[in-house]
Amino acid sequence: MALRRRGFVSVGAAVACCALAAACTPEPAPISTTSPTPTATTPTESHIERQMRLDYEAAEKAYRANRAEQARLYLAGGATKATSTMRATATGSYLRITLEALQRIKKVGWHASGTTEIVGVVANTGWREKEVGLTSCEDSSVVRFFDRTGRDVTPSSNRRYVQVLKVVKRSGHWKVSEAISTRVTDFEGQPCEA
Amino acid sequence: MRSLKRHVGSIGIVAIVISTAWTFPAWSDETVTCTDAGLCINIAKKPERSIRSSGDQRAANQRVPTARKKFAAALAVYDRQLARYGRCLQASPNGTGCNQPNSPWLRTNTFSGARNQPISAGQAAAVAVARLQLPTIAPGIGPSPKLNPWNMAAVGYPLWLWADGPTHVGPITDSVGGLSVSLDADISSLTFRMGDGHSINCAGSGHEWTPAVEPGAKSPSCGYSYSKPSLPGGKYTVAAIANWAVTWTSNSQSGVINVPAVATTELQVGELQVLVR
Repeated sequence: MALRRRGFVSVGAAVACCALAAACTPEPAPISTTSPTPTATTPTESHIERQMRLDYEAAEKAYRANRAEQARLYLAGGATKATSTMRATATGSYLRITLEALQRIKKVGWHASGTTEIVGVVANTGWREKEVGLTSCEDSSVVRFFDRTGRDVTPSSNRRYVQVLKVVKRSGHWKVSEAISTRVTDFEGQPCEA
Repeated sequence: MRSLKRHVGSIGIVAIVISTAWTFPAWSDETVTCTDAGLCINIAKKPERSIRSSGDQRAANQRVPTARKKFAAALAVYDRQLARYGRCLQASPNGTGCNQPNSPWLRTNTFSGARNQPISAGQAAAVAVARLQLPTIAPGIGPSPKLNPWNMAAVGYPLWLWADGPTHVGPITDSVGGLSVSLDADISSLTFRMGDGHSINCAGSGHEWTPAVEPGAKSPSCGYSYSKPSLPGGKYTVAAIANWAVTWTSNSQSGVINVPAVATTELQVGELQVLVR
């Protein structure tokens, strides 16, 4: 009985915490964005080709994990500092700018509904041991923003972007370090279109 | 009272920051990162510090030419790599051992701006082409060996060759160093390395074989008949080298940059025996 009551109290405390916090969306466990060491090759894929493929996959994984974390934070009403997942998957100007956007959201008391759709991701530059390029088609048009009073304050501008991303390897982990955005009306003809 | 004034001033500044938070920069002049909320921020890392002395002024004046030189050097490296890759593909039997150009991350944002337009339309086009992701073109060979029970092509039978994949990309618009570049890519020619020591050069992208083709009919544009089998036990590695002609237009100028790409497939070729009693 005592155990049951303590459990009930714990649940109550958790509910109270959620109510106090901007939203009750726990930070996900850190993700691994390291490239596995190639151990075997096939007759059609050389050692270096395999390493390239694994690096591109790890870089894309880091990017997608970062976007998922950003989406979680937008839904939660922004952030004041970078979470461990953000730091594990981003660095440089990309981390600085995405954090700045989340801080501004937090400051003005906005929150989002809906999440950005990643329409497609492709490799865009030659492979380097510690740097690869990705191009991503991001559609944020379904993401809506609301202020403290619940008023819809979504920007009226088009929010479909082709993001040319630079992903770098830091201490064995792939991190998005830079994004150059181009606004597009649709993704037709873009390399990253679905 | 002074404290109150400062407080009111702070509120004013915050209000200005908030009200300008979702305004958009001019696209053509800035390299920006945009976020879900439509907020776009220039990726330039830090504001330039104020210039106090003539020495600092000289250093600042030096910065742009230095960046311009670095950019030109990076572009030259890329051009050499592209040329070397093209030569290697011409010399190699099937494209193996040829290193694709490792396109550099050409940092135009470090020295582009409204008052300074340091790169030419041709340079901007080269960067845009280096960024361009062209599709892989597999060697199309028909009739497919999979259509017969031996899973092989036959010696002496006219094979049709074509570029199996998209043969046109574009128009695509990219922005480089404040210049807008429009790209349109077509396969201008194809070279097939048949794996038996012979090469076939074809203009355009060839004609795709279909089941409607009359048996034994030759391709009107790009075909080949093997004279020696690869079997028993062997396969020919067929390489298709697609020569992409990327036409660029920027700032009322235009040009063409050739970009080669290679893809291979394996093909078993055998002899059909006819028994006559």
